[in-house]
Amino acid sequence: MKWFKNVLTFTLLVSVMMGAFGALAQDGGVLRVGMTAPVVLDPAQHSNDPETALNRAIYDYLVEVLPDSTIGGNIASDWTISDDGLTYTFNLVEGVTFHNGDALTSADVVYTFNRLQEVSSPAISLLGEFEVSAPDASTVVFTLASPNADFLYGVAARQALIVQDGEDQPNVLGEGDAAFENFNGTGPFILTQFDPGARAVFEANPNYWRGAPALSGLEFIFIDDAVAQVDALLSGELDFIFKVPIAQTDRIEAADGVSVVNVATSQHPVIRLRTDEGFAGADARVLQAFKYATDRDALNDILLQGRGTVGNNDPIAPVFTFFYDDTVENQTYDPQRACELLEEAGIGTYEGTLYAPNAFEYADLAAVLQQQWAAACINVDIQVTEEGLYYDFSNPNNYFEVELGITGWGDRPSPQILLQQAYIASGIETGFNESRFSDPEVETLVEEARVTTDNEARRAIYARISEIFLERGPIIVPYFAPLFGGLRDTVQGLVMNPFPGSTDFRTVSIGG
Amino acid sequence: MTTPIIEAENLSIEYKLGNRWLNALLDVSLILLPNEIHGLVGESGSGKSTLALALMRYMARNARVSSGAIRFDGVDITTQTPTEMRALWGGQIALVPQDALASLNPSYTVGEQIAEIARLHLHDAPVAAYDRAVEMLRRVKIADPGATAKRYPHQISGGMQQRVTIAMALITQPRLLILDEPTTALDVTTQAVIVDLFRDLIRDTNAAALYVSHDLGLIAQLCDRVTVLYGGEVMANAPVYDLFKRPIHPYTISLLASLPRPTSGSETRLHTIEGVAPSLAERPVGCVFAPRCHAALPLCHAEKPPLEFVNTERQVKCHRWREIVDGSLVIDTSITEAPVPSLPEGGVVLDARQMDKVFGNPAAWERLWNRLTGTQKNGVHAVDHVSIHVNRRSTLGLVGESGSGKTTLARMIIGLEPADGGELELMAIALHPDVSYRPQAARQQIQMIFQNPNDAMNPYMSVEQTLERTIRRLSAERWTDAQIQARIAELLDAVRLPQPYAKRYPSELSGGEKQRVAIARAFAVNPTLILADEPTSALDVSVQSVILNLLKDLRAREGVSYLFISHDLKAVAYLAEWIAVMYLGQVVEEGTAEQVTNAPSHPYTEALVSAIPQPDPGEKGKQIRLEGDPPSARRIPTGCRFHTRCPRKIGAICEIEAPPYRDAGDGHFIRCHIPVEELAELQRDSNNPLAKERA
Amino acid sequence: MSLTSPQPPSAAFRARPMFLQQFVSLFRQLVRTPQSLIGMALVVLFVLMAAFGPLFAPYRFDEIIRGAARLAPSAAHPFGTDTLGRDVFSRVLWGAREIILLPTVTTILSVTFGTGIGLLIGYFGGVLDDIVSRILDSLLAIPALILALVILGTIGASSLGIVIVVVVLYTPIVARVVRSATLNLRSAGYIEAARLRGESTAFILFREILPGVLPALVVEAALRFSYAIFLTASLGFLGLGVQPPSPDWGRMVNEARSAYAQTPWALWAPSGAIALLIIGVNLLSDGLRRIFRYEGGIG
Repeated sequence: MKWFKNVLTFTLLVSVMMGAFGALAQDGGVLRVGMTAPVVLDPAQHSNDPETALNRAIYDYLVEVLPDSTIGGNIASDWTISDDGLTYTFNLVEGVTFHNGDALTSADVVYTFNRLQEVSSPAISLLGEFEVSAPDASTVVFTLASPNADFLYGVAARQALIVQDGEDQPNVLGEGDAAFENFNGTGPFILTQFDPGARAVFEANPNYWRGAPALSGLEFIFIDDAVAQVDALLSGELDFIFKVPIAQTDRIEAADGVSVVNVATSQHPVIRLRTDEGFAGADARVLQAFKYATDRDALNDILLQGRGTVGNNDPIAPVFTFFYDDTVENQTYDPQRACELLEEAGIGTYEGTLYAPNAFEYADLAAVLQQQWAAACINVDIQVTEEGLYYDFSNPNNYFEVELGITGWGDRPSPQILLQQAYIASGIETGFNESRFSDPEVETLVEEARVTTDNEARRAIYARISEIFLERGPIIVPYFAPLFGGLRDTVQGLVMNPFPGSTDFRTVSIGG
Repeated sequence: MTTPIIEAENLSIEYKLGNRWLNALLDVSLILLPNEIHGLVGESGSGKSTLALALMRYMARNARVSSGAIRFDGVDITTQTPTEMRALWGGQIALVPQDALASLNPSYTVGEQIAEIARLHLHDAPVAAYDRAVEMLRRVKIADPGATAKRYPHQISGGMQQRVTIAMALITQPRLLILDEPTTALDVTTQAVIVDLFRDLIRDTNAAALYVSHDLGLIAQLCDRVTVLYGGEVMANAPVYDLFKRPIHPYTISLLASLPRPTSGSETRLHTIEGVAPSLAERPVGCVFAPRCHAALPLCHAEKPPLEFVNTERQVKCHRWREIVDGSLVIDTSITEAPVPSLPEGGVVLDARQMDKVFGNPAAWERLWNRLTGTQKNGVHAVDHVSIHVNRRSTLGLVGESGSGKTTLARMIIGLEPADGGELELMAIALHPDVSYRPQAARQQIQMIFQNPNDAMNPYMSVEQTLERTIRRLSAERWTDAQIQARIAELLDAVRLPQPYAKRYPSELSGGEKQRVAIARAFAVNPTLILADEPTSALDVSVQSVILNLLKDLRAREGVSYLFISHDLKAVAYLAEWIAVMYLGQVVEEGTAEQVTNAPSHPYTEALVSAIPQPDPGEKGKQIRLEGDPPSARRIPTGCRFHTRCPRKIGAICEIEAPPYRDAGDGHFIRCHIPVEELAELQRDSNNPLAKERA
Repeated sequence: MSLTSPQPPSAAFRARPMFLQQFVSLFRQLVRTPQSLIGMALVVLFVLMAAFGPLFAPYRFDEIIRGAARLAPSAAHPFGTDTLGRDVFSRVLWGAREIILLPTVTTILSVTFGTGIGLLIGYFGGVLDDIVSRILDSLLAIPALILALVILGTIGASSLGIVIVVVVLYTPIVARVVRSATLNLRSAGYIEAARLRGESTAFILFREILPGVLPALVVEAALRFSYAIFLTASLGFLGLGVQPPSPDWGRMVNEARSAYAQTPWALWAPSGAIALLIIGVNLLSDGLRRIFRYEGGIG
């Protein structure tokens, strides 16, 4: 075994030296990012973080979601919206070129958005119905069928990466010299090596229209196991990882030269009761009882070691800074009150089953809830189901059918999306409104918010919705989960995006 | 005096049972000289296998030599290391085991296995070793040694397997050959051939051989000297002629007298040795045989007799041998009269006509499949249209080797194996082929005694429970508990078991006792007919005679009929008035016991009679030996089924045409192409030991 | 028969059906070998733990102690606490009940069903045996975990689900063991004697054959029990077993696995308990096998 140890040490040495050498070779150095292997590469079709990261390095967006959830320009320098909210006009930046040297024109943008429609990209759900045209080479005009307050989030959707006019198989590996011909974007990095399942290597685009990146290159190393990613970070093989499991954060914190980075997101578990006829949640007092029965601060402490953000019992996360009203007063843990409410509702003690998917910390969440509720006249059995099965309609006890369940809601760039999907009547059809919540006042307010472009006005609408949710909303949101990353201390200028694949590496550099 | 090859001196061997050491062998001495075949006789538990294997230093893990010595060529091997012993094993000392198939490696061909020994012990080159192996196979008279050498053990018959083990034992020209019941598992005709082979081969070498057997006939025919073991002690040790002709130990005398022999009429009884052999744990203080000895004195019970020399040739362990030698003590072995005279034979009790059974007969869908695929799969025609009948108060003996279909025939009669064809009538009432469909009255009428006493009784039911269940299930009337108790007592009396045995479980009974319970069970509900399938073949000689007597007495008392199945012609001739001889699913001869065992008889019957080893060392006349193995019932020979082995085959007609079933007069029938008169002429001078004994 | 090597008779089932006496003699033989003695001691320990463990547990299995999460082993918490702040020692004590009870139930059920099926097909043989044996073989061919996933996926993860999975998996194995033991006995004289008496099939199967099959069955049951423990723990580990907050040891291992860096004790305690229990049961079943001289069993 001794020789094996030696080989191991040698390998480690070499990789450390190579890392150091890489850093010396060019000013900015090479950033090594660990992630799971990307599978779907097509810009219009991809979905997860590594896939987005890969595309984000090569391509640009027309506009983009900034880390604070606001919209910023990218290759559109500015835009105007008609008063009726149906026409969006974008002006393009001058002097943008593709990696193959061709200049970017409005035709490329039109082609990109038409292609999104053709291939039914996930971005369409945000974009809605629209037509796109190019009056001249530097102007693009979108005409909407109906007003859509989140249209800009659609334009900034992860899949809306601008490809060249006529590119019909973006990100398909070619042969020989033409291997990376189809990885042709206008972005800050140029793909130079791609080893599916192992690594992707980029070099900085020296002609990048916003100026060459500080880094000399970028390397994505594909490691599927989260713990192995942490190991690689600690051993110096990686500079940055994201989606670190909470139980692993201690290891990073305890190590020298690396730190935990932490970004608030709108990802959250929802504990919801069905509110339709015949289910306990049809009575608002029961809904309130559950809220009084739940100690959300304790949940955050126990399950997220206090690192999450406690919000209100509605889907509007503090991370949506412009739309979040922190003055709304929420129910506090009061088991006595919960019992009284249940008594008033004629239930006395609630007996039932709490369903949860076997994902994230939700099984533990269920166990802690069971404890908290037991003191508040709510006795539940726990049924944890495989995640796939839990969301499968062929399972009679799927997330949509059960009376009391926990579901996970991923990060959304805007609260409007969540409200529209899950808390109005039309969501029952699509399978997102699992609580069957249908409140005329909420319906009106959500529709109002959809067409309101003024942020202050929208925040007021959302505050009203929050109040309604406190009183008769079907859900408990214990916390909004943070996202953890691990970062080498030498890396500078890295701001992790709530959707970490969208993290912008353009401004990152590696210092002494 | 020549140096002995192997010598056991005052050898005692102990086994550890639980926390106690028990003597399996006590003070045993044995000397084997070169060129001597030494017989070792004893019943189960006498320690004969322990002694035989101990001479090779093969001992069970829980056994030890507690005293004495074993000297091979003058060297004490009790203290040798396993490495030193390994040089002797296989090379100087060789073993022919009882179960040939188990001792051969199933994954090597016969030739390879024999050659392996030559390579190991004679240091032959591989090719030379193989050639030597083939040559050895030729010496053990295997017809096509080259082809046989290429076969695997399971591809050759039991007789051939035993020849192979002999070849393996002899290839190194060992100085000592130990044969541990090597023919017990073989048919009597095959046994006769193998024993001839032993005699010739051992005489050719200069080796000493120890032949272990419970069969006194075999020992008499094969050995020069005999040692008789009883209860782990040597009772006698003598040249074979002296032992058989002038036995002086009461045990030897009784043992020889208890051998079954043909008796005219049903009024006589075999001599018996009452009681059971001592267990290791309860060894008597005095003479180990004293508890069963007719001539035991108080001295015999108190003090162990020494093993004394009668003359230079002969030793005996008995306090009273001098009285026996000078004739002042005569051990009573006279044949006793039957306690109850039997009634004369009556009319037909069982009439079985054209009984037919094919095993593995393809089902309808299988026939279709065979036709579609063009494959041919024959069933085994175990019993081919056989007709027999049994008369009231008489016994029909059914004789044949394994595979002759005799057991199948019995099972069809009792309904355990439903017949494929034929008619069965019991007292003129037709019987359903399947016992499950027979009415209670019919089931009560026919009872069965099974071959293996060890599984004849449920090990979890006491004697009492077994008998009670049978009485209750098979009686038409309801019995009170008191009546049942009385009947059980009566039955135990009838089979001469003490009353307390009612509470015993099978594990607490000896083989003979179990068989008595099985007999009691068969008689429990006053049947008309009892089928006895080899009821004595698993028992020791001394026990066998007791059971045969018991069966004879009970028949006389209860007036039942027997269908008695056995491969042992002598046992059959003792008990049966009528005999039917079966070969490959057919009856080849039937008639009265006297007709069948005397000329003229079917050539097969003649060979069977001739193959019986006689417990008489002087008797070595002309012997008829059957060459080859019995054909498989799957491929029955054309014409006369016996033609492949028949020593009296007359020509092509035997191969082509089925022989007629000739009437030899007075109910005697013979299935043969040779006319009865010619058979009588041919067999006139042949040696018929049974006839002689009868005379 | 000759006296080649008298062995101590296997007195446990020497045929005298006085069960107390048999039990005592079985016990005596078991304690004679150190392996069996250790095995028996371990099994007794865990059975006691299952019966009385909760009485000695300082906390309830699902009690979350606020502010006590991720504590290393100490006098207050001998095995430390887990990420939620539950006392691992208490959970291990409570969990013994789960891990003993479920396999006991599944073993009893699969031995019962397997014995019934095995007796029937072994005794009747023929087409019935052909068909049922093929079905059993095909059940045996299904990988255990795949079958578990399918069944538990369909009816939901629950104790009942585990019972069904284990019974479906082990009944064929027991049935095959009983079948072959029955085949050996089918042609025994006393069985044929029973047929000649006109006994009912039920009587022959249960009164005549079953006692003879019992030694093989006892050994097989012990073996099944140890496999059932292992399978139950595995299913718990995969999250297919009993539901949280149950202190199922397999589930505890799974829950502690992702937090191994923080709370290694929460992983070691239940893993060690599973290992000790299985070692104990295996030593015991080895001992039984030695006593009954029964070779066989399908892994």
